[in-house]
Amino acid sequence: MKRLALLALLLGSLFLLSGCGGGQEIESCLFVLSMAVDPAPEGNLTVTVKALSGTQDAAPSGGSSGGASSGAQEESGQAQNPQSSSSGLEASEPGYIVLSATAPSCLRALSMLSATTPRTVNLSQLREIVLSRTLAETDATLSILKEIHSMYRANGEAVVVVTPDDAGDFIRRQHAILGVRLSKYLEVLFEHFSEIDTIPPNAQLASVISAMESDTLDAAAVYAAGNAFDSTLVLGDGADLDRLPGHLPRTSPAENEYLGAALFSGPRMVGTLTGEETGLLCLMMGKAQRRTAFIGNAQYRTNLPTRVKRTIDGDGALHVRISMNLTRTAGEAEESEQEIAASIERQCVNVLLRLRAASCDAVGFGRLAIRRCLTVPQWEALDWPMLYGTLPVRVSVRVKVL
Amino acid sequence: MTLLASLSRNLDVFRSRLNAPVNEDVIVRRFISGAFESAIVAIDGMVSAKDIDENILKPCMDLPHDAGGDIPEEERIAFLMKNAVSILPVKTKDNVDEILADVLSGQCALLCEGCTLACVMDVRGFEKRTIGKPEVEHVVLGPHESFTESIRTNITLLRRIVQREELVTEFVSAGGKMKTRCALLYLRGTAEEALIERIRARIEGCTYDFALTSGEVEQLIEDSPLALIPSTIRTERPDRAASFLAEGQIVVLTDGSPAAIGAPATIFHHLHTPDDASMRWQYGTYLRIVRLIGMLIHVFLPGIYLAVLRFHPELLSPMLLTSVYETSSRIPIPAYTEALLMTLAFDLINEAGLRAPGTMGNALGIVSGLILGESAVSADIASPLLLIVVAASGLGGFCVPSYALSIGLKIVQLLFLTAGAAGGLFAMALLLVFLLCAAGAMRSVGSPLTAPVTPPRRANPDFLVRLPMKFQKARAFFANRHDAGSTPDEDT
Amino acid sequence: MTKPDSRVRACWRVRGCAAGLCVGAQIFLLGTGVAMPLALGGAWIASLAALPMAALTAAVCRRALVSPRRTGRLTAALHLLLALTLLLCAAFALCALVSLAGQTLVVQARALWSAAAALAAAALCALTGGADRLCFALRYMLPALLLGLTALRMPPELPAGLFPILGAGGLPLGVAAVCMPGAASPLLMLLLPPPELALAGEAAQRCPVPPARFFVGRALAGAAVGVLLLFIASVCTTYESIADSSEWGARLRIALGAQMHGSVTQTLLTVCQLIAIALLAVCMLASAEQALLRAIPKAKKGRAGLAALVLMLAACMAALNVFGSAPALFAAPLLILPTALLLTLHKRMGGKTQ
Repeated sequence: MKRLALLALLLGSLFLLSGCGGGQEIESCLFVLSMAVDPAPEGNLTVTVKALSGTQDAAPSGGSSGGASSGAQEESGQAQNPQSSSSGLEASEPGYIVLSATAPSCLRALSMLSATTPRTVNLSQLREIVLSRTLAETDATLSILKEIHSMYRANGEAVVVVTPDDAGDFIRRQHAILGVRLSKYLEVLFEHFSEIDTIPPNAQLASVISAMESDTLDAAAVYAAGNAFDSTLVLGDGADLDRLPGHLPRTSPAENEYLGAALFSGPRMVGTLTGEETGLLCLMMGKAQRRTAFIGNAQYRTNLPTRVKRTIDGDGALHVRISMNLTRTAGEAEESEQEIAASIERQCVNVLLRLRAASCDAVGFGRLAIRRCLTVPQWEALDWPMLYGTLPVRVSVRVKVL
Repeated sequence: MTLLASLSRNLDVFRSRLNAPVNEDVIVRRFISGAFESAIVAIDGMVSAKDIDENILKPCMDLPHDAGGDIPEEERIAFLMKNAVSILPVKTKDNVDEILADVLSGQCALLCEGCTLACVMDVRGFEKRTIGKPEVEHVVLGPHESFTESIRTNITLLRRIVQREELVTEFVSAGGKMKTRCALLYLRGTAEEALIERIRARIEGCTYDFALTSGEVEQLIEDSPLALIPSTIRTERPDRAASFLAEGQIVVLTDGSPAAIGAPATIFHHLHTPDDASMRWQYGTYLRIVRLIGMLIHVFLPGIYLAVLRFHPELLSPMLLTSVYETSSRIPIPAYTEALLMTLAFDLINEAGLRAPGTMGNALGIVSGLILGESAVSADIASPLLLIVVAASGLGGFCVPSYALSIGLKIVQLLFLTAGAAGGLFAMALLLVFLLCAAGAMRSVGSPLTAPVTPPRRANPDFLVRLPMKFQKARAFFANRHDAGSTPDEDT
Repeated sequence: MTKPDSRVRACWRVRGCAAGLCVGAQIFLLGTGVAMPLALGGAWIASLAALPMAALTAAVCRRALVSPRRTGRLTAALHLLLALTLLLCAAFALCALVSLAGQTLVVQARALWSAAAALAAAALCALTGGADRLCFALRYMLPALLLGLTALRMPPELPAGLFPILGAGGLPLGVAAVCMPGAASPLLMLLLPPPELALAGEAAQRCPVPPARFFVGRALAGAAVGVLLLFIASVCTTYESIADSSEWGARLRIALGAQMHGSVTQTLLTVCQLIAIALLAVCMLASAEQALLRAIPKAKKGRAGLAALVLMLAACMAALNVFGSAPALFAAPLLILPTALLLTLHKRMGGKTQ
């Protein structure tokens, strides 16, 4: 009897093989590596994706596939991004295809891409999401990112990038100039820039969404732009990376430059930091990885970890204490330890003031303030975003040159 | 039916039962032994003619003509046994069925006029294989002898290792019409009486016409013959069978099969090799870990591959995904079908390699591995990554020490493959829970199969890590403890 | 210790470990399902209320086991109530299983398919009868994997979800704390002796039941692991994310870092969670069958009892598929009522056969 029951159950379970499990053959997916969102006329959005084509040949890329917005024709969401689809077809790099669609929302644009490609859009291998600055400065950013993350299960480690250029063109220009695979190229690119602290540390999609929703921390995404090299902008003094992307005096097949941070206050972009300022932001967050620093005419190296402590003092001041051990590796030391410390303090204070002015708590002082509250209502009553803009800032740096 | 006093009538019964004279294998030889007539009944080819001539016929026929004339007729057989027959193993029987069974097994029956007893003598002289090396259970260190088809030889091999007075050999028969002789060996005082009784009852209770091989006898002993995992352990090595005896297990030998069955057994018996005990504990432990990894790869890798491809591509690194994506785009069949075909192809190659004649068997590996595999990839029938997965999984399967378990795990692999294709890691997790629950509930002649891990039982530290001999002090949980007078209990 | 004694004690160890694992899993499920939406980050504090209830339940169940066994309509009715309570725990666990799977591993699958798969697996496992032994085998490995994988991926600094410590505040925390004792209901399986003892000989059945601390220790150990996992789940997520997430499955997932969907560690952690929840469901279903057979011995024929329970479970799952997981989350804290009744009348149930 037990065997009969077992057999009946096993046979009945066969229906589970009927295919309702939701599995898909891998070739029926469109694996997107880069995604760009631009505003389009009449409140629409243009979504451009760069995806695996599955072949080694250069594939033609289409702009605005589908043409009409999904849903009602009367919405006239048919406007195409003039910069992206002037020719309709352009050869992309081998192995990748670029597609775009325009619709009232990101979700509908992705649905249109799924319907017309025809493949199911899969964002699990996404490496970067590029938003145009115009869009980032609106409140729509958070909802766009949340849609992508939760509905399409986008890779939470995809880096959020803001560009003043057209985001679609930004990813079209993106090629793997070193190596073969764009995915690996982007992975190494972001790793490298993180190591030299020219991009903010928590610029991943999931972290940015979490910060945008949170009262205790504000998001900082990567700021990037196409190179617009102008020799008149080569400045004699100051750090080389103390500038925004697109202004570096260099030439390279890679037109895009990733440098600096796009600051957010809640869901809205409120400012930028240069590359050098982003490095100082990383330092104050305790996430600095840069090992080498140029101070004056000397090169220094940090062999021991830099200790950073953030506190809110008794008088309410936002205080950052930094303790660094430097070893001079090249050049002549022109400044004393105190002078170096004072210089770093000044620069950090400038960054903090800029953040405060923009109401962007990217350093995370809110995470310290919330510890003083026992319950959520107490914290909400504190109104931290308002309070943050009024508190004084203080930086103490101790430098020891070994 | 018992023997009659009349020799002629007895011989008529034997001839009738053995279908003589049509059956030309039957030897019935009448002769005068002293003062009375006698006869031997045997099967040609099964007995040693030389032994019969020198030790039975000649001594009996050389007796003086009046020898045995003054003794009662009933004692004539005893007289011949004392004064003429010089064969060592002799028994007296009066049951015709038992005498016939013995004659058919290669013994010789001696009957006398007026005597209702027969003398059955072991004069087996049929051709048998010499002791060779194990075919399946290869070891690096340790002995290289294996069992043969002769039950007597196998018992001898065990007795050479286990030289203890407690070693008992009981003969039982399996099968209804065609009886197969089996031997139960155990150490009295170490093996539990209840287990011995249970195994004996299961073998003797066989209602089928025949159970010829040790595999069939094993199915009589098992608690759950429908299970995927065997619940008894089979070995072709006398040293391993001797270790079973020492642990308190019962060893069943089957006449005609070169394998011994050890029962009760646990799942860990299938995962250990005799080499483990022969090596230092570090080497044995390391090899066990390697084998375990191989086994896990064998069972799970193809299923995980399919699950990741169909349900969880985000787990793949982008570079690997790109490679898989490009190759999959060219394959005309779904991933599940592709995986199933490659797995079955691997098993076909395996089976063909076993059955192919010796010289062809060696070339088969090269043909199948290089040509078929490469051709399949070139023809876009299979992807290279899948071939690697199937090959790695196959290699892992060869790491399983027990042949029976490896076949069972092969079926489990297919189940996981199907589950991975149907429901991804979710379905695989559910299947894993089900199979582990089923394994946990299984018994081996009443003892839990997954003991002593679960349910907990007293045991030596010898599951994955094999500690040195000085830590192996406990007897196996299914053996009697040192207090030999204890009453055995039903295992719970 | 004689052989029958040691083997009977082994049976009880297996039973105790299974009960401990079940209560730990139930605390986690109830914590994420009910306490987290109420108390936000303070849910783990509310779950501490389940610990004394777990200890009390284990101790009272042990007293029932040493009482003389009684028969009669009231006893049969109590066993029926026990079966129903355990069945509801199984339904709760299966609902959680489907919810978690739907948010993590099989997002694109239909909920009905996932529910059917989970139900079929639970029924097959209950049919084999080896769930208790599997729980015992995994008693160290499963918690070690769950805690170890989370420890591997926890960030070095204090997690953001730790503060505010009391979460939503006094009243919601109090309400959540009142709901949590219902998580001890799986321990009611200790009112039933291990099934192997019923098949054992006279000597085994005369062996004494282990002392109360034997069961209480195992119950508390399992409950502590459940509370710890709930703590980790709470602190890994900010209170804003908890407040925003309406899906139970999203709260069940212990989110480790930014890479929530594609990490191998995350996937392994989810699989371990699914196994733990599946074991809870199977143990509850098997124990429900055992209780039902005590109430209606005739149901043993053709495993009719199990078939009936599976059908009732299927009806529950179908209802949940239609109405969502809200009914399960609403019903779960109410399990405290039959639990309290059974504990009060425990002496009517008894365990020892004479």
